[in-house]
Amino acid sequence: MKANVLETLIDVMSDEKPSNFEELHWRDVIRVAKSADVVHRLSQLVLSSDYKNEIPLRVRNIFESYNRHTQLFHNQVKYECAQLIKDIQGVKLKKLLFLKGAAYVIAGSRAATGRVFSDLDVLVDRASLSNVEKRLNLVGWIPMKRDDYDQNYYRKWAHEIPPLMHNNRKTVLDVHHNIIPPVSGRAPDMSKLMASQTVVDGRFRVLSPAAMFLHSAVHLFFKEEFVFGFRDLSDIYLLAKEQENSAGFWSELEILSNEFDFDREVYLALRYLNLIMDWEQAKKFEKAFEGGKPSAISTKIHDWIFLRILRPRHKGIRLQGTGFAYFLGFIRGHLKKMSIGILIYHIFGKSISNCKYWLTGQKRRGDLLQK
Amino acid sequence: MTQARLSELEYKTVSSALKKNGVIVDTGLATFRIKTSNRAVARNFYDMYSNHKVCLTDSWFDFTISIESPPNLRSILKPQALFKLDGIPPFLPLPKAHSYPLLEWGMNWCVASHFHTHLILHAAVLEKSGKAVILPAPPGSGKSTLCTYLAHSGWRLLSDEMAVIDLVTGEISPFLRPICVKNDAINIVKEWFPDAVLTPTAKDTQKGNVAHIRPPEGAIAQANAKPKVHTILFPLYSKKASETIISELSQAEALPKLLENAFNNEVLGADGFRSLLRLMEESSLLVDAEYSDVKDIDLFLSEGFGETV
Repeated sequence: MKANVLETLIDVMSDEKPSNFEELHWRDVIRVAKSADVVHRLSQLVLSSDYKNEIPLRVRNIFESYNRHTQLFHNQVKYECAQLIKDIQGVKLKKLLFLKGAAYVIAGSRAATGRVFSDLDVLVDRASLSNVEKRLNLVGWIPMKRDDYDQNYYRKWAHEIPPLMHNNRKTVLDVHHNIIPPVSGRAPDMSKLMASQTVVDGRFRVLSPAAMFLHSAVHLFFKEEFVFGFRDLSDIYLLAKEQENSAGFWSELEILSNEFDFDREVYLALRYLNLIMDWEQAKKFEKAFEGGKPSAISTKIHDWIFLRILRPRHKGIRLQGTGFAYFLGFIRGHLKKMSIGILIYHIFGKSISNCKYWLTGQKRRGDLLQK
Repeated sequence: MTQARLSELEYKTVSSALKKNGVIVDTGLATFRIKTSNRAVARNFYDMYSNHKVCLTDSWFDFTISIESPPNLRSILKPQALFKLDGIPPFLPLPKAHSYPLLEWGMNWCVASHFHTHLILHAAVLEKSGKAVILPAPPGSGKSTLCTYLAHSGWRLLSDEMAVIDLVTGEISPFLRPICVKNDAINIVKEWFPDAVLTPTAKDTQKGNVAHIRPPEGAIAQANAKPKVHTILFPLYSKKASETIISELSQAEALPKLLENAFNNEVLGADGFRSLLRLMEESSLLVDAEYSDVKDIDLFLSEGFGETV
C-alpha cells in the first residue's frame, strides 16, 4: 500500500481537499479507514464536500451506503437516549449526563459526523448511582458481566458499573460515576465537572463543549488500548475545530484543565492534533497548557509511542516498531490508571479467563457486544 | 488488470494465489478478494467459480474476505473455520467441515450489509427475453430448488440468494454465485441434471445438509445485463399439493410478503419503502404459487412472458 493513502485519509479528516482521485487509491483509503473505524466519518465528510463529484462512482456508492448506516444509527441513538430518560423518570437523582458518542449525537456536535459506536455512555453522581442501577435493572437493563472476577473488578476499582444490556433491544449501556477510575488518584470532583453542562431540547444533558473536549482528551490519554486511537483523535479534532474561533471555549477549557490538573492530557491532545491531523492552529492553543508539557526526553518518548499508535492500525501503513509502541501504550495506560500492585493482580485475574478461552475456545460470557 | 476465466488457470496457481495475495473474483454486482489456506475451500472455490472472471494481480475489489482457523487450542481437537471481512470476524466460527458454506454465507452477508445503494430482497432472480422474475421466499420454501430447475431450463440466472435492485433506476443487478441447495433437494437436483457440478455435501449445518451448484456458464457470460422486473412470484413448495395453485395478489397483500424478505429496508428507511412500491408498480404480475411440480411454475412463467409453449 502506498504511503499517500494515509495522506488522503488525513486530508479528508482534517477538512482539506485530497489530491489523488484514482479508484484504486480510494479503495485503499477505505480499507485503512475501516481498520481505524472511521469509514463512516470518511463517507460523510467526502459526501458533504465540494469535491464529492471528483470521487469515482464505485467509491461514492460505498460512501452512500455507509452514510445510510450512520443515519439509521443516529436515529436509533436518539431513540435510545429518549427511552433512557423515560426509564429513570422519578428516580431520586441529581443529574444524568450523556457522554462520548451519544453526547456528540445528542448535542449535534461536529464530532457526531459519521460516528458509530457500540454502547451508550452516561454519567450520574455517585450518590444516586445505586438508585439508578436498581431502577435500570427493574425496567430491563440487565448486567452483562456475570463473571465474579469482572463484577468485583468494576465495583472495586472502575469509574463505571459493569455494562448493562437491555433485554429486548440489546442496547449496551455503561453507567459512569466518574470520567476516570478513582483508583488512579486523578479522578476529578465530579460535582464540579458536572456543573459544566448544556441542556439540549430541554431534556438531554451533556457536558459543555469545553468539558466535552476535556473528557475526550483525558479519555484518550488515559487509555491502554489504542486500536481506535486515530478515531478518538479525530473526534477531538472535530470538537476543537468547531470551537476554533470561540474564545469562551478556550478560556473555559483552560480553567477546567487547570482545576482538575489535566494540562498534560490537553497538551498532548493538541500536540498530536498538530503532528498527526496536520492542524497547525493547535500550536497556538497549546501555549495555555504548557504546564503539562513533558520534559524534552519525555516528549521524545511520547512522540515515539503516540505517532505510531494514534495512526490508523492497518498493516499496509505500519511504521517500524508499531507492535512495541502498542505494548508501551498498554503499560502506560494501565499505570496511569492503577498502582503496580493492583495492575499485577488485574493482569493475573484476566490471564486466567483468557487462558480458559484459549484452551476451550469458549467465548467469555459478556462478550456479546452487538455491532 | 488482467482478467481470466478461472478454469483457464491451473488449480495449483489458484490455490497458491489464495494462500498469498488472494484471488479477486467478479460476481457481477460485487468483487471479492478471497484469501484462504483451507484446502476444501480452495478446491470448492475452483470448481464453483470456474466460469467466473478472476484476477490475480492488483485490481478493484469491494471486500477482502478470508476463511481461517481460529487461534485457539480447541482447533486441534475440534477444528473450526472462521470467516473474516477485512481481517475482522463478524460471526462466531463454524466446524471446519462447514468451511465452504461459511465462505458463501459470508459473501452473502457482505453484500446484504453493505450495498445500501440497492434494495436487497431474499429472493432468487431469473430472466427471459430481457424481463426478470423475482422469487422472494423465506428459507424452506423451495426457492433454491425451483431456481436450480429454471436456471437449467432456459432461464438466465441472476441470483439464487438475493434480488439486488438499484434504488435509482430500478434495474436488477446480477449477483452470480453458486446456488445453495439443502437436504432432499440435493439428490433431486442430481437426478434432474446429472451434468451439474455440485460441491460435496456439508452435513448438519445450521441449514441442514447443504451443497452448492456451479452456476450455468451462459449466465456468467451475460453478467452485465440488468433487466427490470416483470413478475414477482412467491413460491411455496408443498409435497402434498395435488395441483398447482396460483393466485394473484394485490399490492396490499404482496407488500408485507416483500417486507418479510427485505434484508436492508431498515437501513434504507423511506427510500427503501418507496422502491418496494415502485417495484410492485413496475411488475406486471404479483402472484402466490403453491406447487409440487416445478415444471408447472416454468410453464406458468413462460406463458406470462409471452412465449408459446
